[in-house]
Amino acid sequence: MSPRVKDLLLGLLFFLPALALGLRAERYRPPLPAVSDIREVRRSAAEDAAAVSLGARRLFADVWFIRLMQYYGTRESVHDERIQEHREHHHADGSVCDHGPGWEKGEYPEFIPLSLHVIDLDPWFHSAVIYSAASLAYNLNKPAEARTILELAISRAPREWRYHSVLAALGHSGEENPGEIVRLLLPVVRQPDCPTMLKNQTAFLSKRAGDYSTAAEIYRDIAENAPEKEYAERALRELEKIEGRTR
Amino acid sequence: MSQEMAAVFEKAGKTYLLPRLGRPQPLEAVKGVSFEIRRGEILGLLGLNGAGKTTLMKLMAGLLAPTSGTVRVLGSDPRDAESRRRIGFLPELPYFYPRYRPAEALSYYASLSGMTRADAAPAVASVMEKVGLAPHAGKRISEFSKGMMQRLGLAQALVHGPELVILDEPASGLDPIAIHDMRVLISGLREEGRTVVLSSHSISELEKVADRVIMLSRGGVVACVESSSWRGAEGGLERLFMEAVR
Amino acid sequence: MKALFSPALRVASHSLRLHLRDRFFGLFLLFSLLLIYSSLLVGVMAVYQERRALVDFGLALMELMGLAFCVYASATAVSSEVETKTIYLVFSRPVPRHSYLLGKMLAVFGAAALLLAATAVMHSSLLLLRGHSPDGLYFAALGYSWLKLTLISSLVFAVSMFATSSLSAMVIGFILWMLGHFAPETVFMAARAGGEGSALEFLARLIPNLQLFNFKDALDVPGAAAPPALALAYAAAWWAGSYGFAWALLRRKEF
Repeated sequence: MSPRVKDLLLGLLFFLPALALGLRAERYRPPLPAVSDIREVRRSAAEDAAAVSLGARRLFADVWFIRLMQYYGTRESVHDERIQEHREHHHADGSVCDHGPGWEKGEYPEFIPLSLHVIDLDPWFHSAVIYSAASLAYNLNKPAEARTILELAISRAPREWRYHSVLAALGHSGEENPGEIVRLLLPVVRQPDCPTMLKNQTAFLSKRAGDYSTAAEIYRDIAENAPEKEYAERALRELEKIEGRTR
Repeated sequence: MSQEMAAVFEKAGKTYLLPRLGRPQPLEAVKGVSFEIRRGEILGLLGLNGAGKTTLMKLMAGLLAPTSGTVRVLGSDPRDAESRRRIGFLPELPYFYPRYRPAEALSYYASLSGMTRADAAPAVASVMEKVGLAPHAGKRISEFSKGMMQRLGLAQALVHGPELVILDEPASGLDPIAIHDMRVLISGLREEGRTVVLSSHSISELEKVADRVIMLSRGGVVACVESSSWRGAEGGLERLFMEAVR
Repeated sequence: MKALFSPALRVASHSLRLHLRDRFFGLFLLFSLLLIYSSLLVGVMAVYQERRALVDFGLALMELMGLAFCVYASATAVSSEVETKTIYLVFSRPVPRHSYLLGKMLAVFGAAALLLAATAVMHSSLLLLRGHSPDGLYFAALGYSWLKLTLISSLVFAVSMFATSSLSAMVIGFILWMLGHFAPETVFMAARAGGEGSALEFLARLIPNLQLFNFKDALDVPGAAAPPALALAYAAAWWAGSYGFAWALLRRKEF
């Protein structure tokens, strides 16, 4: 055996403690979905590989969440066409069209795949998960899909209490019991990084339930802290209305 | 080994293994040479390219291990820390970190030779004075000319006060004035009682400064001549060298 | 111990100074600062998730820039001294090779810490400027990143001892970094493909498990990263392994 090979073998022996410790450390696995469980969206395979191999899943989850918000914040062209069509056509009997609930709010076919992709990368990204679920349930009239999103998130991040609260609140959404929904959502809404849209919805439900002080508390929070200008202005108007009512 | 000897080579050989696809190819750079270096002398190593001068110096500096025979430097194995503490080595065309100032580089090498910070500071100042770098102390090494780099190289080999100084082509690439200064410096080392081993292509340089010259050809010692044999003789060292290597 | 550490510390302090004066260090630092500053835009796009986006971008950028620097510095630490022959000036002195190697590794570890610290100061200032404050988790993530960077640096040192060039050592370093984040899955797949205790599984285990240190990817996940003591021990075992391996190859190397 040449001295070089001997040196190489001797050198490899030094790695034995590291290998032994590796076995002991094996039980510490980040509770994140396996690479094989990451679904591809918008030809994301290369990006997903980078996310995992660079150890930057959170960062890429942020990027996909920004894309989701941009996608949802962009008006759909198909949506405009449908509204135009609705305006232009006339019924002979003068009756009003019934296109089903929420037809005017758009389809956003990529909303769910994008939401799932964020969960695949980082199921603990509670703001994104709650944003997706609340948007589906309250804006897009897709409560079943919202529940699917939450159930998937819970299966991957079972210790995230917010998901359980929002899922429970969604369970009451068919009933005429806004007070119970508010009770379930309030701890979530009081968290600083709760999506403004859910805060706004909870304030609205509080108002409907006759709980004006809770509604005012949430609107005040939105007016003071919401980064979205429209929500903040609307919250101020709502606050004025509530103050006018209680004066 | 006699205490009078600074270094002793006994049938020392060095074979390099050149990496080749399949099987490394051996190259015999030094072939079983035997000679001694006396304390306090200036010994020149003279030879053509590839004669084995640098290999012999690296063997003395402990950078290489002989593949056959033995090499002893200052009474011990040249790879022992103790002998390396007592030698100074100037490789051919030394390189220094360009952003350093000379004193910074010298302080580092003094510390590597085991000097404390307190001992190193005056030693650095003194050696810079000796090699003529004191006026350039404020400059960065990147601003140095080739001659100044060579002086700095010599300074790092001397900063820790070695007993044996090994200089590989110290005059390489220098202009005539710098060569003269280098010669004066080397002669000065003998006056301080240090042993100097230097290699050169330049016969005239060795002729002027060396007490003894070992002539090498194809890895072997072909002649060893005292300065008395070339001083005043017709043709000088050059004739002796031509006779030896032809 | 003094014989080991005294020359090692001298080599380390000199090499650290060189790293800090190296234009690549400056470039990596400048580039990191520019990227961190430009991440403000991402923060704005993330709307109410600005803090999370800024923290995630900052931590990831700091780590990636640190990786680029560490891989470069480790791959060239010894080879550049061989190329410039400055290694002759070191090894012709009473500097044991194990001390030299230790000094070189410590210098890269120190430079990585300083690079992370400098970028973290800038990043924290940016967070504070935007009304967010870096918390304990943020600094813990930085600590884990440093461990991860030092682990990969030590491995690149080991690889550079037998690699044919600095570039190949760097490439292997980046590949190990990427595989390291897949390590648990690679071991699992290797065990399934080749059977438990197979050579394939053993080979897969030669890849360090960098997920153990990936605290920045699990800031909201309780207990996701290895406990600090285990992470430190694991990193130290790889430092020691790489150091021992590099020493075994360097001890008889001739220049």
